[in-house]
Amino acid sequence: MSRGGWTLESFDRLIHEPARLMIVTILNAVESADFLYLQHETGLTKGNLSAHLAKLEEGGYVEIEKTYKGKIPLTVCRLTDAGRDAFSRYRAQWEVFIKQTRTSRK
Amino acid sequence: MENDLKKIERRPVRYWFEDGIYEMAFGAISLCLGFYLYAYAWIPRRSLWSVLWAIGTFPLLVFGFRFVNKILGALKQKWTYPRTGYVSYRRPKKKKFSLLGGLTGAGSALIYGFLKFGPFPKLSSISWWPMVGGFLFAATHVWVGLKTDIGRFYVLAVISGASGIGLSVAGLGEMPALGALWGILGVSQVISGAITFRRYLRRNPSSGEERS
Repeated sequence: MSRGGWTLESFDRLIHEPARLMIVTILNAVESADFLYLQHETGLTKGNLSAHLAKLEEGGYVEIEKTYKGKIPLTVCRLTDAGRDAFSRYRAQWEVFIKQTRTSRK
Repeated sequence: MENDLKKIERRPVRYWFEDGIYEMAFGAISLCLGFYLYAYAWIPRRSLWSVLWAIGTFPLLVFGFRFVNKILGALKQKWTYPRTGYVSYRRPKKKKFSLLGGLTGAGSALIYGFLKFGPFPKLSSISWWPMVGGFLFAATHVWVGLKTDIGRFYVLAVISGASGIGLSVAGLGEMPALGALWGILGVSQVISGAITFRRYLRRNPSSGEERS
């Protein structure tokens, strides 16, 4: 599907997946958030969230730091600069794509 | 799509207010300030106490809000983060913050000056500060409501606005009315925060409570 040079395939697949898009959007709005918060907000299971975070970490979009708060393990996730850039790019691409879809309908 | 993303982006902001702790803490400091202003009204003018009281307002505000921040952090650490997770927020840019503060101050002073010394002599007998204050709080609550989609902030906005108008025309005098305004705001926020906190704890039992 092509719209004036943009194709759906050109979207960043790492972010485009709905669950990962949700994770990245949340992390983009904050400095950092822990695993429990992300799980609470996304409604994903532990395993599912872990898998998506691992993929984002592999892609260099997310940094994961495992620490302890007292005796409680704490997994803090934050978006890297590359992650923030990729997210803004993705968002801009979407905006252009939607605009082009609307104009082509008219 | 863009709307969905914006909704998701609002969630962390909403999360800050979801447990009611912020309102309780802010309500408590508002109550203290209310007592402080109300007491100031009863101190004889041009006495040493009145000067000390007036000078004390600024440090009280600065340290009060710092203290509330510390307490807020500690309470969230104990009650919220173990239940629904930890979030570290991006700090607002200082320039933007100071500009907003300056504009708010200048705006209130202008409105007050216009009402008090403007072309309507009858209006100058009314204490305007409570009304200006009430509307500022109402505007802040509406802004928070819009940012978070939390309905109770609109109720707080109505309370702030109505109290401001009521106290301005009640004829209590500028300072006692201002003290009463802060007091009413404090009580309403503490009550609203406590109800929210209770609901939050019910909805999100700690892992230990869940097991039992």
